[in-house]
Amino acid sequence: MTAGTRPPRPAARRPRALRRFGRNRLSLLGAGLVALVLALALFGPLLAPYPAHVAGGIDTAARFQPPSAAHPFGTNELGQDVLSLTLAGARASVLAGFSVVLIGGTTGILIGGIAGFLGGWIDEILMRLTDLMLIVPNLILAMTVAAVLGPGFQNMVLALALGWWPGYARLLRGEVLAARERPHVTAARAMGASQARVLVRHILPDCVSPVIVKMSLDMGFAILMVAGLGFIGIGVRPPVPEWGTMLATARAYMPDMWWVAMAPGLAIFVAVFGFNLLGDGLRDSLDPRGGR
Amino acid sequence: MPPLLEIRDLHLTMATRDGPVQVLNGVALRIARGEIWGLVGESGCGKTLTGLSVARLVPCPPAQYPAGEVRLDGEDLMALSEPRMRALRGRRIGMILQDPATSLNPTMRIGDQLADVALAAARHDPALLGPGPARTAARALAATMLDRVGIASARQRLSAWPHEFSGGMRQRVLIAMALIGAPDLLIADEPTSALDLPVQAQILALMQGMAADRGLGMILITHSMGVVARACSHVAVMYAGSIVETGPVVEVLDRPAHPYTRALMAAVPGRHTPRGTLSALPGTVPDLLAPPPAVASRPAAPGRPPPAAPPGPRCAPLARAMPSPAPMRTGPPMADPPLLELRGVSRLYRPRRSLLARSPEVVALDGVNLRIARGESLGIVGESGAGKSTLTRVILRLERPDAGQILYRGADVARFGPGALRAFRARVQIVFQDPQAALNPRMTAEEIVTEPMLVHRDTVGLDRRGRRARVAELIETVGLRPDHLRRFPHELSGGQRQRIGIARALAAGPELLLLDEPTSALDVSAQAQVLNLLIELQDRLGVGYLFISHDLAVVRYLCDRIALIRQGRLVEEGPAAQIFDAPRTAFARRLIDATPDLGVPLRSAGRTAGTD
Amino acid sequence: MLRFLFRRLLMLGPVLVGLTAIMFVIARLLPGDPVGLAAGPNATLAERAALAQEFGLDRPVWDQYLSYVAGLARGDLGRSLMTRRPVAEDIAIYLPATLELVLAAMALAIALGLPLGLLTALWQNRWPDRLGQVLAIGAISMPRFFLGLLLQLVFAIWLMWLPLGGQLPVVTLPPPRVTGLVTLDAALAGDWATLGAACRHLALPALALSLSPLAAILRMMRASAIEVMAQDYVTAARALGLPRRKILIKTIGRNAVSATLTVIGLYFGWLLGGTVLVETVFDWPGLGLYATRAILSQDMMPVIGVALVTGLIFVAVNLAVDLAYGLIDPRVRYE
Repeated sequence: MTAGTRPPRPAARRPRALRRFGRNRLSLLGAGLVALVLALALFGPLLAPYPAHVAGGIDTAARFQPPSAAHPFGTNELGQDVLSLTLAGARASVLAGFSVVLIGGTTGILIGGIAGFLGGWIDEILMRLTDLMLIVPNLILAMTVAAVLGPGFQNMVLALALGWWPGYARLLRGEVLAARERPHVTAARAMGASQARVLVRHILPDCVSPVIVKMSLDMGFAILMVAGLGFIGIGVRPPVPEWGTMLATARAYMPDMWWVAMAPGLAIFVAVFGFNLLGDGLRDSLDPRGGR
Repeated sequence: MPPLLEIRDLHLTMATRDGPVQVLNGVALRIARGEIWGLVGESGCGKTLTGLSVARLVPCPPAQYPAGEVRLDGEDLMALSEPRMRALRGRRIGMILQDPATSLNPTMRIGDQLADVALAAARHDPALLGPGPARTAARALAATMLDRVGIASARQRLSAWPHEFSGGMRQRVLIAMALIGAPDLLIADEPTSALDLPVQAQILALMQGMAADRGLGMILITHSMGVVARACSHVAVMYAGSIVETGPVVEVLDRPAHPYTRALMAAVPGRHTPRGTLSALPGTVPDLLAPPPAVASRPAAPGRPPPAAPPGPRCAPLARAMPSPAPMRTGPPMADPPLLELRGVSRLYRPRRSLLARSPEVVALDGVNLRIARGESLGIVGESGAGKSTLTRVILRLERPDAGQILYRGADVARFGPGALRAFRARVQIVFQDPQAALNPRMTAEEIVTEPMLVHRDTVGLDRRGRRARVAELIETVGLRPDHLRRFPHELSGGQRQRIGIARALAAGPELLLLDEPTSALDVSAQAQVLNLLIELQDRLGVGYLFISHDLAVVRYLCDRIALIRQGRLVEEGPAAQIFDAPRTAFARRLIDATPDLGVPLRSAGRTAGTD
Repeated sequence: MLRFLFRRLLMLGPVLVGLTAIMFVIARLLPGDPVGLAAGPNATLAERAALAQEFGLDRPVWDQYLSYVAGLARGDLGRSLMTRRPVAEDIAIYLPATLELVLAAMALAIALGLPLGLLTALWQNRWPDRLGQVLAIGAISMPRFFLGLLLQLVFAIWLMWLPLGGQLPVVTLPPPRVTGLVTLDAALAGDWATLGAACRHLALPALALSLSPLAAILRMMRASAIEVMAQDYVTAARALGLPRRKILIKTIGRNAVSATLTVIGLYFGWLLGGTVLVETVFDWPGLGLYATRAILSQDMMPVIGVALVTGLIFVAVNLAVDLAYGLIDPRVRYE
């Protein structure tokens, strides 16, 4: 490949990447939505118009009120303000999604990095395991683990993270293998640099961008999975508001009291949409090989 | 009668994120039937866009043509509608693109691709296929064309896939595709630069023959004056979006009028260019965002010498004396054993083995014996895939040879412990082919050049301040300015990047540099600069070279001895002059014959160009 | 090619054994009380012991695993604590419904995703393309169960065009079972009324399930078509005057599809294991519902069985994708 045709390498464009990201209005929208969701996760309960409902208070006199000025998204079967619960529910969803991506991602990065860098039989064993885990249906695995461990935040995160790492292991191994063959890495080896130096100074920096992009895209996906588990009834314990669980409850009263489902459903959509737009924008600006 | 093709005052601007760029700046050219025009210039001069503009294949936007005409037999193509233009492509104007490896659709059979072009052309010229079912006639024509371009058993080859053909054969198919619609004008963009030298010569001869048979007008876009001399009747030299000189090849090569033409020719090493006499072009290709008025505004004036005086060739200033490399710890050298010796080195590549599938091994090196003395420069020449790059990897112990020994000062490299290996890698350094890829994009030039000193802190023995001083010295040695040190690789030009690569290789004070095609990714002027720099360095530092190249002329220019390898085997070896003057093998003769030669026309006035 | 097929099939054995091992580890080493749940709250200790013995749950885990693998060779997937029936029989009942749903959804996604991806690539960065991109990201971001609820609300409750859920109306007898796919069986039996009813029931869940693969296929097709359009052979085809339609389909389309195939294969497998949510919303009597019920009662044999079967289909689909890849791209060699 000649110098003219190869795509510029990631870091060479760090400042340009930032500019490119800023020029894309959709990416900015995604960043904005993500900021909003993160803010809700931090301050959601404080913003809720009916903090008492968030804390578990009920108001049976006001059951199933349709949307009104007092309750923009109506009230639920316990007379709680749906908007308040939804705002407060951001915390569980975002925190769970974040923990899953962080735990699963870190595990996968370690496994994939070790496999790619060491090679040989270690690589063989780790990658066979990774391939196997990729075949196991993710949702069924998570449901099984969560069901056996019982409901609860940590159990749910653990259950999802268990099926989450193989994607990262594959990604990182591929990146490390590709980086190892790049001439600038060969150059470092040829000058007599130690293994550790080659890895830290020359290989790992090349792998950062794709991991960031994947993590951002995965956040949306993880939030979807968390909500899915909640919807089936395996998730956070009831008094803590969580979008998936709220939807599951709402479904029981669905045809007539449809509004109860709207706020949590839209909240999931907006949060996931934001992370997906952000991840897409990051990919376009950091990693031109994928996407476009 | 109007000429076959007339380009008048063609301007082209490209909208980019940094504003519009003036890419073509009043290009003018007249081509008659039967003429083969070489359009020559360095990368970025606009020659490819000129060719694409004739077929109106430059996407608009981002491109825009503010002025100019392209007339084919008097008809202005710029004014045609897109459907009418499409009717001309393939039928009146044939095109061959640069890289035969990527110009064929990989998922269609050769015959179908040829037949599709014939069918498309026949829609506008039914006479092309004659009577009868069109599909059958198109396939018959495809077979005839394949035969004409020299592909044996053409009829059977119709059902072959592109990946089953070699590069040269694919280029033949592309020539057949370009000519199957019986066009009047053929535009070929670097049709041979992706091919090995002997294949290049064959393809050029084929194109010449086809053009002569059919009375075609042809534009051959190339960066190589050698190709022009070999294949063209006329030449147009392009620089910064304008044509600076035109005329018959014999005249222009013999008496180049424009300083740029002269500089371009003097930068190419020929078969007999004396060592150290290449002149590099001054500066770099100008920034098209702000073209220098002296060149850009000058109208192309065929045959008339331009008024401006040439800027003097700028030679990179060389540094003060470099400290000689630190002595090795292993003590004084023994009584002159070769610095590096390869004894029967072989290297096989086994495709991943599995239980049930067995694939053949690929022999990259096959029993290679070589010796390099201290301060000597040895050139290794071979075609692509001959095992040249494997050689450097095996010497540096980045890969282990399957058989044979590599001796460094008599000691077996394979037996070096970690410490000795590190010391060895300080004394034997490598410069890579693609300077862009070989430099870590995340590090500044200063960090890159400093790294070997950090790695070999114990042997180099410099503190922070010492390293800084040494980097400053090195950067001057390779002809760069201190402010280049703060830049990242992508902020440097190709030639500058390669200088950084050389500075890095020199940083730990090596005795031997392995140069793996260090100039093949560079323009001719940058190549000339780097070659001259290497000669200077050798004369001053006494460092030895193992210089790998596919270009015999380049190796001849630089090296004392030459070794030819083919399919992993050493074919011929000897002093450079001897290889050229009295080659012993057919392979050597073939390589030499395929090497273009301009000589040094400025000095050898009696030479008739364009006839060899 | 035959040898390739043979080798890949040979690899199925280790995959199966590995899969069961993973599922066994998870199912058996984690704390839980499946026997207690199956026997009911009022069961005596003796009853529970008898149940545990009947299902082999009193033996050590490695012993259970070995006998499970041995049974696997005979096509025996163990017995369900919950239904008290062989898991293989249960799966034979529930799998066709899920397959029908997934096939319908994938057919829809492919039929719309490929051409739309090609078109948006042609319109790259003009407004229809940008709109398509936003919609596609939106479709990927939409939770399938929420989408299902919305579809029910709009089409089944407000407009009353389509049924709310289930595979057939309660009063309709299912067609004679041949393939197990209700639509296909009805068509085979020539029972057009039942076929119509089955299609109407299939429409909403298939739509809900197809949206995200549709978007993913569209995006992948667009990206690879844009990549292909920058290739020299496309410029060459234009330079040689080929008609636009030929360039679009033969040159760009064909080459872009091969990259998209991988995404199709991945999504197929992913949907198989992910129909649970849509099946729950639409009361679709498929594997997902079966697995959910088993999971909730910690009845592990069905869970392992479902994981095995979906894993197996996943592997098979990917094998088919590899073969299709070779049909489209002659450079692919099976070694």
